[in-house]
Amino acid sequence: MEPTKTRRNVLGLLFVLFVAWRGSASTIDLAQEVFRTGPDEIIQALTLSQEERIHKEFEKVAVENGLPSGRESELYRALRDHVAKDGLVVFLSRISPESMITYSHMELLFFPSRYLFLEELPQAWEKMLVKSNVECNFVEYDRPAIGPLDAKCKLLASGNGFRLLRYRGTDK
Amino acid sequence: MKLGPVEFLALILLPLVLGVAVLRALGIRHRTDPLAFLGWAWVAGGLGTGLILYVWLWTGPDLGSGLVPSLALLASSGVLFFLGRRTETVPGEHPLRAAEPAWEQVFCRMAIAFVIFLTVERIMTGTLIPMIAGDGAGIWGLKSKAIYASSGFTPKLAERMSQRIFVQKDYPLLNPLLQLWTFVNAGEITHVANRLPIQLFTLAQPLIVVSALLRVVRPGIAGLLALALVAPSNSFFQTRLAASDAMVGLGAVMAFDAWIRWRRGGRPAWIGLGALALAFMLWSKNEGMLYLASMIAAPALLLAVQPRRWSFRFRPRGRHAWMLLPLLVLCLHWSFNRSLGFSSTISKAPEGNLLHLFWSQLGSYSPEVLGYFAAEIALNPSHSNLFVPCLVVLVLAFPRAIWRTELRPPTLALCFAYLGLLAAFIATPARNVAWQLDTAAHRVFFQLYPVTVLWLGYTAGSLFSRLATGREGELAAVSPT
Repeated sequence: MEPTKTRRNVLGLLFVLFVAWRGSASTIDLAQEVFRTGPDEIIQALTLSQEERIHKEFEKVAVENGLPSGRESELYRALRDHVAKDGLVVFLSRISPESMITYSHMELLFFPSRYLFLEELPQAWEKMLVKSNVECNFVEYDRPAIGPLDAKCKLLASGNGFRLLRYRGTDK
Repeated sequence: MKLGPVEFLALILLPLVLGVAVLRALGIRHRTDPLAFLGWAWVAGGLGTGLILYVWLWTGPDLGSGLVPSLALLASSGVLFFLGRRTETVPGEHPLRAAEPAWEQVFCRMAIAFVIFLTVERIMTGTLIPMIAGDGAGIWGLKSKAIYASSGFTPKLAERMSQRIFVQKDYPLLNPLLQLWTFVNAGEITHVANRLPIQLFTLAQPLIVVSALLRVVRPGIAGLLALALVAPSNSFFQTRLAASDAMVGLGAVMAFDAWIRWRRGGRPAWIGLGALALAFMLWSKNEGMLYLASMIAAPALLLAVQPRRWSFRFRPRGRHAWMLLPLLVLCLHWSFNRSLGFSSTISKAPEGNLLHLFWSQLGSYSPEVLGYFAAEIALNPSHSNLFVPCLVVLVLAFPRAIWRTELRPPTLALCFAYLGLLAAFIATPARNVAWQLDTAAHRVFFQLYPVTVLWLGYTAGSLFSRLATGREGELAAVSPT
């Protein structure tokens, strides 16, 4: 059953009112969004380097997730400065939201470096590393130092709650 | 090498010039539609750049320099410009006509300017976030990094992508290829600039949709719908991320717009543009296949139900060769996955294929999927502005008008697309459908939002003659009473 001409006009008017309602609600949302964005954000978007954006984001994530300020940036710099592009990084940490966030950030940022998350060092770890024939590094993150690593690795960097070590057997 | 001013210009201008050349070969110039032209050009250029990079990457090239693909882009642009010399130009038509009230035109212009300003602002502030989380970085960005690190489509790529970090390896290539275009220009892997080619599609979207709206509905309504188009939070996130959801939605709405223009103008250029949009949609994300199936199923059903009324003659001409473009893209997509041994995680689900999963889970998952769709998508104003219930109301209020006119194919296709997405969620191989809905439904259903917005404008202009604009007002003689 199709509407009569009058009903059609009424439905047309209702449609206009509906679109006006949604359009005006949208305008309010959008205006609020514009006012939320300060000019400093635009200036930063035009001037910051990629590195500065990365560190800024690390700080934001730290605040949002209760991570220690500056830790991720320190770890990022250490990995950037010491680990080869095709190196292996074994990330030793307890499973926690904080460690998983940091691990996934580093894994994405440093690809094609290969990252591996482990809670504990496997018993036959040295055999496995020698076989892999790539430069192998360890990150001890938010956990006590692991004795066997100290004997077999050299310390590359350390910071707030982390140590970066390289296994001497694959050091190139 | 870093992304300096020259490399930055090459990153943007070379695909754009190629896009302009493609449009010129189709007979579409800037004056044909000044508002949508840049949007179409970026889509056409993005697709063309992806195709050129695809061929180049099979040669195991030196990815440290972008000279070869840049020259290939320039050469292709030159050839297409030459071919476009004699192509009949689609005449221009100013979207805002003097016949419409001045206040409405001013409002519409202000709304368009605001939407463009806001989208540019979102893109700029989005660049403050490096790609270190989310699908843009984890699925699409990582794939482009793997291709770059493997010097193209080499055996090393399959080996590298066998790592645990890679998920959805079979996803289409256009997004990763365009991110790789940035790496090639920068001479290294980047974590911010590679999102820009993808973000620019979110600027192309309002240009294309608003221009389409201005042709089907009066400027006041078009302005309001333009504001509603970019207001939802999903639109905000799409602009700041590099996922392919915005791309697949853009391809669908561009194809719909091309179909409307073709129906109302009959020019073959619109068939070419529609084919290009479909190819873009298919190479952006796997949902594109579902939307293409919906677009095919709608006229197929009409032909089956009323073959006389809906039959049409098709005389193939040279320009219809553009229709092979979606097929070509599908072949490239399948052959790439086949050669590297990538397949969909759904096809490998131990419970069986998608159809089997759908039937076996229909009873148990339907209430949750439908309930979520109703509460979080359709009836949630912040998701899609209540446009889905509005669609339902219009279809129920005007069944004959929609069933008997040119509104029927797009209406059916859109309904099929929504039903298809619902079916896909019911058939999810994930053991926890609630988790699947929470993580994906908002984003995936939002792919259809631009098409829904254009459908509303198109339908309103067709059903209510006072809401139609200019020449379309005369065509809005849908009067079943």
